[in-house]
Amino acid sequence: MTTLAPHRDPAIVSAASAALAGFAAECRLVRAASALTDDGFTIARIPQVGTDERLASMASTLQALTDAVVRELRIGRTDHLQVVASEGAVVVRRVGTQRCAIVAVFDEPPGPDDLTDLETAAARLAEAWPAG
Amino acid sequence: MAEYVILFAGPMGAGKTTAIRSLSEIEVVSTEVANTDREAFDKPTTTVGMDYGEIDLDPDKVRLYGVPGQARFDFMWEILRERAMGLIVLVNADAPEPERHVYEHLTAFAELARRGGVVVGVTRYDLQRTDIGDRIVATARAVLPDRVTPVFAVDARDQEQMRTLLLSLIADIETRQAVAEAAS
Repeated sequence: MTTLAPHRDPAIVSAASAALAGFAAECRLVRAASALTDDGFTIARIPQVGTDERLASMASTLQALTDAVVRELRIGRTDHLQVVASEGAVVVRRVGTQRCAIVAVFDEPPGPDDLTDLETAAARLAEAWPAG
Repeated sequence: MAEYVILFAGPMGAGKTTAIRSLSEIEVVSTEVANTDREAFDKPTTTVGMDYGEIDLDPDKVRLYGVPGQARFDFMWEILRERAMGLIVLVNADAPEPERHVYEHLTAFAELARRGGVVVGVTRYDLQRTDIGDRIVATARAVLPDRVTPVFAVDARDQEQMRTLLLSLIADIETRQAVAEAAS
């Protein structure tokens, strides 16, 4: 018997949508965000239209490469990763112990409050994740 | 001493990560994660970034890169193919339409195949002994009509078989380099 994939599970999709909506309401800098599985499937995203389809797969690659570096250097577990560019920034944060992360694209490098908002969104999704 | 950068491409489940683990003399740097959609493809893990391994073929050093098999990660194909010199396409014979995967991957990496070298390895051939070999040879000829593309039946878990495949590719690269130098 196979388990329903997270991106097809209505309860997980609903929880992820709510977590992202709350994040968007609290964080003024966020341009787009996706909740994604470790293997790069989009569970939910904001905005629904105009978000790059490949954001989830690119974020899962970034997460996996970062995990590989963390593993090679034996420096524990990845908390989050941050890419700062000249016209924006990307942050990927794992959702608790789930095989899931949230990626957020910001208009400018996020401050501590923005990172806390993202951390809160990830914690909310982890809390709402169905047991089993 | 030469240094070769070799790409392993092919669909999910063809044995790319296994092949690099068979060949590498260093611990493989892997970006395998849990496959969360077992309904779509029943395999426990999938590569989302790349695999990396190394092997010394005295006097040459070979860097082995495996790219993700799923097309939604094709941005990694673009990144890695630019610095590659040779291509190993792996397909599993028991997949539906393996020749379609050969077509898709040889087409995606055609520039590398023409610039460097290419071989095709068919895994799980013992499970599907049909005319699949002929179909794959014909497909490779259709995509790359101006060159011969060797096709081998291989077991990705077998170091010697994978070594033979790799040496065949490097011989192909060196031959083409020698011909190009002689012509210039």
